[in-house]
Parts: sequence; C-alpha cells; structure tokens
Amino acid sequence: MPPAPCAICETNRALILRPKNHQKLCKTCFINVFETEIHNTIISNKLFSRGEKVAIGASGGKDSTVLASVLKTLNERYDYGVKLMLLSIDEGIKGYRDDSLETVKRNAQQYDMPLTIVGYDELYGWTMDQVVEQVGKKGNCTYCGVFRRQALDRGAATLGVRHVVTGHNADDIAETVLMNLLRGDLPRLSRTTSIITSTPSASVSDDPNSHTNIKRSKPLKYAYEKEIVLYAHHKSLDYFSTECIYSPEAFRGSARALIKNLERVRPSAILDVVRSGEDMGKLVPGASNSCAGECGGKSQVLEEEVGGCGSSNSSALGGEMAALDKQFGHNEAAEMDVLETEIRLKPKSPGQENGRDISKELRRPKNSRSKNAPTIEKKSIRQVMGQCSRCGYLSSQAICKACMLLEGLNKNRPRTMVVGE
Amino acid sequence: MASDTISITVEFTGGLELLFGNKKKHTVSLPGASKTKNPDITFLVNHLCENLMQDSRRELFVLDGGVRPGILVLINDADWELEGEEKYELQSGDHVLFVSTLHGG
Amino acid sequence: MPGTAVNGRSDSLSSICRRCQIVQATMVVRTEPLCDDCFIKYINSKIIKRLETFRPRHSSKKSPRKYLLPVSFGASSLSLLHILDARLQRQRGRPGNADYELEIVHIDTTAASQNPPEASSPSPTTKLQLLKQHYPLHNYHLIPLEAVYDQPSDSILTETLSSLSISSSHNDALNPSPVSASSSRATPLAQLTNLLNPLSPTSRADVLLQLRTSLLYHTALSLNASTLLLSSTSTSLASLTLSTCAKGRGHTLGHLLAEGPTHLSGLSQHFPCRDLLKQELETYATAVLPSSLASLCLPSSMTHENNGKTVPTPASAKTTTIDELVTRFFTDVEASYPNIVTNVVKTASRLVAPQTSSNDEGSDGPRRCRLCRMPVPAGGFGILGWGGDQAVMGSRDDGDGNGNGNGNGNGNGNGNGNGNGNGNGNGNWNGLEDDKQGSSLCYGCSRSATGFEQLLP
Repeated sequence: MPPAPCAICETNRALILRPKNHQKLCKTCFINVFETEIHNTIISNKLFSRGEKVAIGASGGKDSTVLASVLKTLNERYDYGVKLMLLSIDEGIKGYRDDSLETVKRNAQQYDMPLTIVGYDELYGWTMDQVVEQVGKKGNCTYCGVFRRQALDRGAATLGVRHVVTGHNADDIAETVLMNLLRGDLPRLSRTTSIITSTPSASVSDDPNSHTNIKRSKPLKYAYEKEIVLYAHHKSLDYFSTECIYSPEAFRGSARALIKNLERVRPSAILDVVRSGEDMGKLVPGASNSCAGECGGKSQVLEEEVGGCGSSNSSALGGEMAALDKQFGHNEAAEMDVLETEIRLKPKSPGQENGRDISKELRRPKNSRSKNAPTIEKKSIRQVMGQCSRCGYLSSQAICKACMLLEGLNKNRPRTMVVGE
Repeated sequence: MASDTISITVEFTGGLELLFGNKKKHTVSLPGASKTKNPDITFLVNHLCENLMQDSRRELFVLDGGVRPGILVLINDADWELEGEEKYELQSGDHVLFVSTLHGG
Repeated sequence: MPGTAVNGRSDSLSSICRRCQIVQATMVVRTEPLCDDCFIKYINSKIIKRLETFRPRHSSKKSPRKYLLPVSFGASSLSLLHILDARLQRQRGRPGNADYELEIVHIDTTAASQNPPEASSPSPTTKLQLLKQHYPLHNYHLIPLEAVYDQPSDSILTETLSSLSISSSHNDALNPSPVSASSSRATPLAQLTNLLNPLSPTSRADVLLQLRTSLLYHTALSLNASTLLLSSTSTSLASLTLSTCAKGRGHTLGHLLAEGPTHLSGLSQHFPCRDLLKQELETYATAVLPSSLASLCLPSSMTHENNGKTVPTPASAKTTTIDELVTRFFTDVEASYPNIVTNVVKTASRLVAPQTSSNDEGSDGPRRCRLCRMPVPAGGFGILGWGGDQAVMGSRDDGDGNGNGNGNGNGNGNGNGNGNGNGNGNGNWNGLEDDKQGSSLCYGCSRSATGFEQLLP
C-alpha cells in the first residue's frame, strides 16, 4: 500500500491509524493530539487547582505509566502548578507485585517524581499472603478487592494528599457501563461515568489524616485503551504487563469481549457507550437528577469501583453470570402464576438502616398511565449511605467491608503470627 | 543462488510474550519467495502458532482465523492496516510487533 | 414436540408437567417442565395478562379503538397476531364487550436491502395476503420504506393527520405517486438509495431502523390508531437496550421501552410479549400457527450462505453491524442465562424519560432530532461539545472510520500556556453550543448520518 501522509501536518508519513476514528497520523501528531485531548479533559472538567498535591495511583501497568508521563508533560507545558507524586500499593503477594513495583521505581526515576509505596501490612496489618494463609485460596480475591478500594485513599491520607488520579480509560468505563446493565445495577451505573468521584464521610471530618474526603479523578476517561498502548509504544515508555485472562464466565470477561467486537465494527463505539452511560445516568430515577448537573458530575462512590485487573476480578466473578441468573430466576418464579406480586431483592445484612438516609428511594416509574393497570411488579431499592462506625469510610453498612473482613481475620489470627512491622 | 529464506524479527509485548516462552524478541526465518510472492502476515501468524507458541491457549492470540481483537500489529512501527493487514508481504529485515492491549494497568 | 427442550436442559424431561400434573412434560421452560398444552397456555396467559393492562375503558362500537400491529413475518409478530385475533373473536362474540380494530402493517424494506430477494421466497404482498386469508377480520397495509420521502416534511413535527398516501400494494413503489416536494426531486426510492448507499453497514442499519420506526409511528397517527402493539420479546428488547447504548443513543431508552404514552402525543405503545424469550415464541409459533404461516417465520440464526453452504458468520466480519453483534450476544446469553436477559429489560425499563425543561422547547414543543424524531435535551445535538469528542468543527467524522479533516482538538495550536484547551474555538464544553454547530441530529444519529442530513426525508 502506498504510504499516506499524516492528516494533520500533511508532511510526515502516517504510521498510526488512530483507533478512535481511523485518522491517519504521523508519530508526532498522534502524540500531540493524544496529549492535547487529555489536557482538554482536565481543563474542561476543572480537575486540578494550582498548588494541589496529586497522587497518581501507580501500578506499573500501561495505564498508570502513561498517566504519569502525560501528566508530567502537561503539568510542565501548561503550567498547572500541581505537585505530582506516585503512589503504589503493595498487597504483599510474593512474586506478584515485585516486578510491577520495580517498574514503578524506575518510573519514579524516569519521571522524576517522588514515590511512596504503601503496603497492606501497614494499612491493614495483613499482607495478602498472610490473608491467604488464613482463609485459603478461595475468596481471597474478595479481600484483595475490598482492601484495594480503600488502599489508595488510605495511602494518600498518610501523605496528606487529598486528590488521587487513576488510569481508568474509556474502555474500562464502557465495559463497566455494559456490565452494570447486564447486572441490573442502575445506581452504580449513574456513578460509573462520573469523572470525579469522592468518598466523603457522612459527617465532616476535621482530621487531616482522615482517609475520607479524598477526591478521585480519571483524566484518561476518554482515552482509548489502544491509544494508550500506542502512545506508550511510540514514546518508549516503560511498563509492566501482567497476564490477564478474562474468564468466559465472568461478566467483565463477556462485557470486555463485546466492547472489543463493537470497537472493531465501529471505532467510535467505545465513546458512544461512555456517552450513553452518561446520558442514562441522568435517567436513573432518584439519582443525580436532583442536582441537575450542578454537582459537576461529582458523585459519591461507595466501595465498589470501575475497572481493574481482570485476573483479580475473574476468579471472584467466576460463575457470577450463573449465580445472578439463578437469583433473578427465583424472583421471576414468584410472579409466574400470580397477577400481582411484589418483588423483593435479596435481603441486605442487618445494619443496613444505619446512618443518615442521604439517598432517595428508587421506585419503578409509573410509565403506564392507565389507572386500571394491575401492578405487575413493584420494586423498591433503598440506598442508604452511612459511614463505617470504625473508620468513618462511606459505606452502606454499619461497618464497612474492609473493617468487617479485618475483624474476621483478626479474631482468628493465630498467636504465632507476628503483627505489624 | 539467492537465499530462499526471509529473516525477520518478531516481538511480543503486553503480556503476549507469556505465550511464547516469556521471550519478547524472536528471530524468525520463513521460507522465501514461493511462486510469486513472499509470505504474508497470515502465513507468519500460522507459523508462530505452530512453531513458536509454547502455551496451549491459542485463543489468546488468534480467534476465528484472525489475530484476536485487542491485539495491535505494527509492521516496522506502522499500523498493519496501513500496510495491507494480513496481506502484507514480508521482506527480509522487517520487524513485526504484536502488542496486546487486553491487560490491566 | 416431544423432546424439545426450550431452554436446552433435558434433565427434567422424564418428569410430569409441573402445571397440569397429568401429562408427561415435553420441554423445560425457564425451570419448569411443561407439556405442550400447558406451554401454549403459559404463552397465551403471559401475553393476555399484558393486554389486559390497557384495556380501553370507554369503548363503543361506534368508535372502536384502533391498534396498530407491525408484522415482520417473524415468529413473534405472527404469534402475537394469532393471539390477538383469537381474543378479538372471543370479545366480539360477547355483547357489550370492549371492542377494538387491528390495523396490520408491514413495512417493506426490500428496496433498501443490499441483497437481491431470494427467488424462492414469497413477495411481501403475497405474504400479507396469506395473513389476510387466515385472519380476515383485520385491515392490512403494505408500506414501502421509501414512503418516508412521500410525506409533507413538517408532518411528523406537528404530529397532525397528514395527507400521507399509503400505498396498498408493492407495485406503487415502482410507480410512485407524485411527490409533494418540488418535482425536481428524485423519486422516493432513489432518495432512499442515495441516503443509504454511502453509509457503512452499521450506520446503514441504524438509519434504516430510525426511518422504519418513525414511519411506523407516523402511520399509526395517520390511521388514527391510538396504540402501537409491538411484538418485541424480552430477548429483542435486551438487544435493543444494549445496541441503543452501543450506538450512543442511551438518552432515548426511557422512551424506547416505555409502556404507555410515547414521545408523540396521542400515541401509546405496548409490548405484550416483553416477558417472553424469543426461543419461547419460536417454539410457540411452530406449535400453533397454520403450517403455511409457520413456514414464513424468518430464521433467527446468525448464519449466511457461502458457496451454497450455511456457515456461521464470524463475529468480527467487516459487514457485521452493531445490531447483529448484540443480537448474537443475547442469543447466546438467552440459551444459558435467560433470566439475565429479562433482567436487562427490567433494568432498562426503570429509566425514566427525561423531563424537558424550557431550555429544550422549540416553537413546536421539545426540539427533536431530524432523523429519529426523539426529543433531545439541550446540549444533546451533534457529537461535539462533549468531553469525549473534541474534533475540530466541520471535520467529517462519522465515527465509522471515515475520519478526515484537520486535527483533533489541537487545530488551534494553543501550546502557549493559557490553559484554555479550545479544540473547537471555545473552552466551553457544556454543549450549549450546539446551535452554533448547526447540527440537527442527536448524538446517536450524528454517528450514523453526519454529512448526509440533506438526504434525510
């Protein structure tokens, strides 16, 4: 095929077919466009303020490496005036994190940024290896997932940093939007597409070391995963890839495959899903409708989050589709023969009602205006956001998941194990 | 007599190297011009699966007869779609890079 | 149908039907083993239950309500017709009962198809006549898709009765009635072809779908039908939900799946089959329809002919559309996890149609997209002015790989530290600039039809 000139500068030879829209670009122009779009995202969403300390959640993977590199470049080019640093979490799994932590250490040198590595042992008193010893290989992913959610916040708090940025990209968001549709999780859907989320405590905390009130943003929200890889390649960035096998059983696996196939058919599909997610979020009854967008898209995050490594999710989610199918089936069977039925969701654990009822009830909208319509289903889900009585973290339970898991671990801790340092 | 084989370098990153003995860079020799044209990418991909892959999970590299969606292919640093995709004819000294984009980070 | 296992699970086939407790079960439906008769009763009762929810209150023989039923000759629409017909006959047999009339509509998309029709398959006219033979009580209409070009251009916006000329036979499409627009315009058929031909497969399918839908709504209004009865099953609604989402049309979900009033005043819509799975209706159709009709049912498999052999279409073939991809996905999911399918629909149905604020009102009510006619809130037009798309204005980027033009967001070369990131001439991303963009298409339609607005009906 004859070489084509770059669509922007029309001078250099086009080496890159831009995944987002199939534009033919040369290396320089691609890098420029990629960086400028992220800059636009940052500016238009007012992600940073001058003098702010920002911690980059660094895993050594492609997303966080590109994020660090781009933020450094943009911070200098456009004079954001933010203080960037790398924050890495060590779960304490021998042999697993070692390589990626080495990569992060190199990144710190390459980008000239201070690096802090915080371990699960100092955050929680347990390394993952110790957890596995305690609870075995099944269910350990639950621990890791829960601990990881809070780890960045807690780690940032120890550094006195109130803003964490993560490398979630458009593919992650799109995948989560689809996944939430498949799972039937509307409340989470409306939070998924927020570019800024925070974990405020239910009451204002004066404690500067409190790990609540940490702001989290996703500057790469509109960046395609493929473009991130291309950027990293053409800038010869240093990153570490772990093996990630998406189990065919897991939702995330099938949502991911669907996203990739959609992207192949229509490159803009990933962005289109993100856009749909943003629009649908406004249609969720009782959700952020009330602020009419004034909160600027900032919404509260419970403990679950977007994206993440497939391997950590896949084993935990293995068989999730089958399990959910079964659960929905039980709900369904109840109404099979009956004209009017109230569908009750799986009863929540006690302590659900704790805390201030900040959120609204989600009720099925009365789309049918006919007054004669017999109720076929009635559903009400209550989202009660309170705070953990132990650590103040935002949670729908009296005690947040992390504290609960820790309680269980600590109770059964064998005497011979040495705690802490 | 002109050499009958083509020597190229093949590189795997993004986790793909794990399927190929955890080695990123490989030198591959392919039978040269048979009939009128050089081996193309389709040929190369098959060759890699048959001869270089050390893992049984082929589906992580190829799916439905083609390179799995989510894997970028760069030929001499250029996107393979700009070079004819599977039909690109390899030349000696070419560098083909397979990057998987399907991994956490 | 002994031995048929609707959900593929054959382990309970040796048990007794769960409902009548008398006869041997011949299939498993969701988790219940059922015999043939009870299965048929189950399908009937599900659909009738839904139909009961909007039984007209004030009805009289003088002004019976009119329902419009679109048929595609697939298992779902024919099954629904079969049940509606039987029910109507029962109703009319009893004096004083609520009466309604059925208008059966088939939209003929032959002209828009890229494949020539198979020689052996009957023409749409023949098929419709066959239906009329079996169910003579109702009115039948055959409307070619190109009729969208045959209408006065403001008819849909003002939603009044139009002087729409509805062709009652396929031949009319070949000899089109004089267009109401200027006579220098091409025929409706040519106009349709001009619009569709340059589009990518996905865009083409999407535009077709939007045109078909708005033609349907419009036909209902002009026939004075107050209600659209749509035969979509849970499976197809789930596919619709996800493909709507994948095409950037998420904002329309509140309208698309609503039971009751639609976004067009005076028109309601209902989905009586929404609790059933596609495979259930396919089994039902085979069981109850007269064989000449059952043979009409379009196959639902994702296969194509290749050198005389039927082969499965690979998911990543270049001609696949998003709609097909998603349909295939749910055909798979339906087989193993049917409850997830129904749950997706339930979830999406909880989304409420957005309230339009005064910002959104034009002079005739909420501003609508030029193609899909859905109301669009301010800021929803076009694909620019949104964080995810920072293309320079005017570049012909339809998202289908035809991106060209100069630059994405850096065309104004502002690397000079004023931190205003104006990819499109303003640092304002809240989308209220759409009037300046001049786009008349909503986000989803922009992806499919940008650059071709002038070819739209």
